[in-house]
Amino acid sequence: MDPVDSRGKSNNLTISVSEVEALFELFKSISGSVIDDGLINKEEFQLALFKNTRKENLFANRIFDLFDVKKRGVIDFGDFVRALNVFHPNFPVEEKIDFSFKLYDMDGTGFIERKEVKQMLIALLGESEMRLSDEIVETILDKTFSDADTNQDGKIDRTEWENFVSRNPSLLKIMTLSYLKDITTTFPSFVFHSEVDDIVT
Amino acid sequence: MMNAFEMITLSQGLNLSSLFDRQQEYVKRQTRFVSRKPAKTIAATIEVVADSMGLKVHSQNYKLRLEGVSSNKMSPFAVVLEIFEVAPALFMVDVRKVAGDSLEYHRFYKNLCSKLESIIWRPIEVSAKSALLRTTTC
Repeated sequence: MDPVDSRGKSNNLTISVSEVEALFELFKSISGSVIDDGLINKEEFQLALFKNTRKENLFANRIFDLFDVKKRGVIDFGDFVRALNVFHPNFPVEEKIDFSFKLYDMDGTGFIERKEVKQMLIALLGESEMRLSDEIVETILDKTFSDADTNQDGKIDRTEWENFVSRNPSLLKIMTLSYLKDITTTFPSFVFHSEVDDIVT
Repeated sequence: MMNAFEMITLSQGLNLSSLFDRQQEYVKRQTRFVSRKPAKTIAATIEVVADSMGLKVHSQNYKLRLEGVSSNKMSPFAVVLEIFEVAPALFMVDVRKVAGDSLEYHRFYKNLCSKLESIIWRPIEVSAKSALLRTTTC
């Protein structure tokens, strides 16, 4: 399997063949949870993340959109493996930084704007049922932008993001799933299926 | 002081490890509350309360690990609390389960909140609303 990403670059899979097979078990479980069609739709994704099909969440939507590279509103197994590959502990940090930048650049302008960060921060506070005054929210944003926005133009570009993440490596912890290293032990009921080759595009 | 992105990364929507958790119950796995007390006071209060709940406390640098056994005495139960400065003199305490049953954690968290009343800050608009709202948050 030699996946090519949207930039036409070929990404070598960091995940091994047996890990891909175990991921297929997980994919089947998620994709069959609401409609058994071999595809993960938004509802099924929400169910897998929150154990609730109706839970709308800004961040889950962003992740879903980034997995759904073909913009069809569904994630197929190829999309699933290629996207999760980025979260493998051994995957290059530069690609993780790139994914996180795209995650937060919600309107895809190539910049993470202050209004986007404000929207995300408010979403997080809502999710945690925490209320902070607008003044406090602005203080947090001021501090964030004075740290990250080095040319002080009110938005964070790709380079500023890379520098900011190097100074704050904990920001990338969401980009690594150690489960991916142990996945063959997490899904021990796996039995080798030759059909895997037919389904993987 | 915490920056906006550090807070954003706490979102359950960005915690993809739950994709690997195939259990079906919905229980909030990450819970947090806000306090205006000094961080040292928050930490000290938590330690006292944890002790009264029969939990062992390990703390280092405003990160506390509370350990005990589940109510059926069969399995370990552990939670980690981290205190973050969100704005000048405003702290957020993030509480998460690291071992044990989710439902047990949920019960523990409610119990913890009632014991930590003295340090939890609820902005005026919230307490002015109905009692119902108060019971759904910490």
